Amino acid sequence: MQNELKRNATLQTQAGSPAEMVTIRVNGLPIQAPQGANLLEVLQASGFPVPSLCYLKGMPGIGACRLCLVELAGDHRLHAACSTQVREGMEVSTHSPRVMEARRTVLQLLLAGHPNDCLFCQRSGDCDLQTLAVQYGVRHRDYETVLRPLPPDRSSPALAYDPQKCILCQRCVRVCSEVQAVEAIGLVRRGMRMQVAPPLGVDWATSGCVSCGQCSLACPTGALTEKDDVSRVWEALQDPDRVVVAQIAPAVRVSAAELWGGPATNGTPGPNGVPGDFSGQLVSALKAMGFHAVFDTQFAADLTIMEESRELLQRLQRGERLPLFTSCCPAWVRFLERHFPDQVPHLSSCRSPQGMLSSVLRHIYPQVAGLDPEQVTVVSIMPCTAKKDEASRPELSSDGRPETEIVLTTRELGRMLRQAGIDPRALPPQPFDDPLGESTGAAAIFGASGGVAEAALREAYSVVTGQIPPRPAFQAVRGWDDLRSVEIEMGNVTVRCAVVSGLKGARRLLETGAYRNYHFIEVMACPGGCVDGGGQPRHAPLARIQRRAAGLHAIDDEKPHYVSHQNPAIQRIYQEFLGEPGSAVAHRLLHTTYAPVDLDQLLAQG
Amino acid sequence: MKVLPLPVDSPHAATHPSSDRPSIIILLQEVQEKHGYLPRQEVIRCAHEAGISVAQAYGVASFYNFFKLAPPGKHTIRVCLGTACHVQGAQGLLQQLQSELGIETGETTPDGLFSLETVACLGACSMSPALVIDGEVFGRVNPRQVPRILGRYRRRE
Repeated sequence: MQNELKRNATLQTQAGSPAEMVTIRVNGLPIQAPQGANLLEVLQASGFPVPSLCYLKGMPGIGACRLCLVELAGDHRLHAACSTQVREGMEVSTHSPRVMEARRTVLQLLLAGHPNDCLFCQRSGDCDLQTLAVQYGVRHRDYETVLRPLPPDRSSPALAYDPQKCILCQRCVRVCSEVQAVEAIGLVRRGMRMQVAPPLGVDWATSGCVSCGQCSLACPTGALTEKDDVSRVWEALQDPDRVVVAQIAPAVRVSAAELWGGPATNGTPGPNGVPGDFSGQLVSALKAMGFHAVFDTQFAADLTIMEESRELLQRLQRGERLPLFTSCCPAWVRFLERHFPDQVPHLSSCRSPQGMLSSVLRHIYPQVAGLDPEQVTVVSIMPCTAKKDEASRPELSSDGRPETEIVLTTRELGRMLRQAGIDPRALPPQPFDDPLGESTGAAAIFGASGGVAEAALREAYSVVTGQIPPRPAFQAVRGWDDLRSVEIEMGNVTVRCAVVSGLKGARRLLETGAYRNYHFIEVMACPGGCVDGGGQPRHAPLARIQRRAAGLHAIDDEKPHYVSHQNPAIQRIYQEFLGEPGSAVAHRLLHTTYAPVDLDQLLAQG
Repeated sequence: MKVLPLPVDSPHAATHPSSDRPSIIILLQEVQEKHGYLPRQEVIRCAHEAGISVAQAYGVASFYNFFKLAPPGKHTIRVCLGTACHVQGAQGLLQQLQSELGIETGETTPDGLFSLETVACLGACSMSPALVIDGEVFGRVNPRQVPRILGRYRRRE
């Protein structure tokens, strides 16, 4: 997504002078396009959706999949449109008999190395290769199937890779290195044994992978997917000895409706296609599936802000371990632990909202609800694959059980509701269960880049000045650039705050040492924040991701409370159970520790 | 309350390979010359020196047959895949060796006893199909003879 943004910027502004527009002919029709533009993008934007399984919007074409072949007049060879630049006078045929025949052959060759198990594949119905096979009328195999003898890697708690389904398009490798700068995976070996893998034969769990799941958004087939935990939830729901409760993250409520046909079908669609809040329908759907209660992760986002803003003010006062890094994003936490272990002390000790709510649900909720703590099983619905990794952390287990027992991504929630035959669009919305269902607007915006910083600044301002900041405050931290920063004076306190969207920006800030110029840094691993999380519905163009964020900001605008401590349920939980923010009880239940490692040593040991 | 947008500090350190960095292939060749293979920590060191990711360096190291990722075995088996040997069934011989040893070409058995390689021609065409173990030539080898040949080396341990 970050690259789509950059491309838009360069197309429009290129040193003040827009690229010269030229005319090309596509299937006989005149088309205006900038000289030197990527031919595939021009064709796709002009009503000729030439297929591609390897192209990534805004990044240079690499011509790996050979499906975007087109015929250029005066040239006897076929050309990959993704690696061809627009020239004045170019004449392009996108579906001549030769082109169609070549594309069918390419598809047949891809399928010759692909298993015949679409029926059982997680991506069935959402698979780019399958879609193309249908589109090109593939009804039989032209070549004998030869599967490469390569085993799947299911070591990661978040992601699964099946080399037999991999078409070696390299999208995942390029997203991991060029978009995220994590560089955990690459192509290894060659010929029949070539696959995507972490280096030196280590498995994904042992590698530099941070589980952000951006690769699983980019993968065109079922090769790289979220670890599917749907059946574990069904088992839990059918177990009479368990009380299964759910929590729903902010960003899920503005994206889940897309799985049933897009934001227009939401309960309350806003103007310009901005998605309305779908959480009411999701609560009803989860209850219908058998969940005992459904709580709002946003309650815990308010709790996070209570703890984290005090931590910030305390560190500012003492001048220690600055800047403070946010710790809500588990992929960012993993990135720091594995790639910049020396900077781990900067991380806030606050658990993420998922971790805080699960802790409250396991340790406080049973007392209030009169339940056996042993029976309470927490399932969280997250826009994120890395939350699965976070849930598996030993620090977030108690009594030998992960406090968040199962994490479902938005996509898995969609599959589960389809299995159950539940269409949430048609259900009457229900509120979240009390008292862990109340939240302020500050919590809703956690799901968009800049939101955690904005929410923390609102709270810090209130603490420092004793006043609620007038709406709107601190919106300068919102935006779509990968790095943004502001300086804020509140009373006699000055806070220099940076917001990082995407791990490439985080790497830049850390490697250049520029992070030292700030007091407070929010990092979201996924470009744009959780609205573009690795567990979200696939195939979302930038505009849709921006509308998801606008949806969250609209929820913020509509909430009666603007600052986290205004949440009555938050006030109650401190009065009755936690005492003060930062108290010993709060530390035991809401804070955590980290595990920095030397990645090179990990890789060297294998 | 005052909110000032700050310019983002511009980066000065590039994390990408540049022309003044040594080529990964040259670095890996030097390591292999010294150790006879590519020890894991050396691949990591070479990646850092070349300014590329370990994943990229390992991609190169695992792509080329020339690079060995495991220490060579005590005995090196070289199977001839030259024209004459090919005609006389060298592929079957190679497959027999691979399944008998449980390794692919270019790998070393877990006990460190054998490594398996192929060569284009041994110059022993009259004895095809042929293989060489540590300089000792075996000619007109039938795949069925493989266990006995390997047994001779195993017994010496």
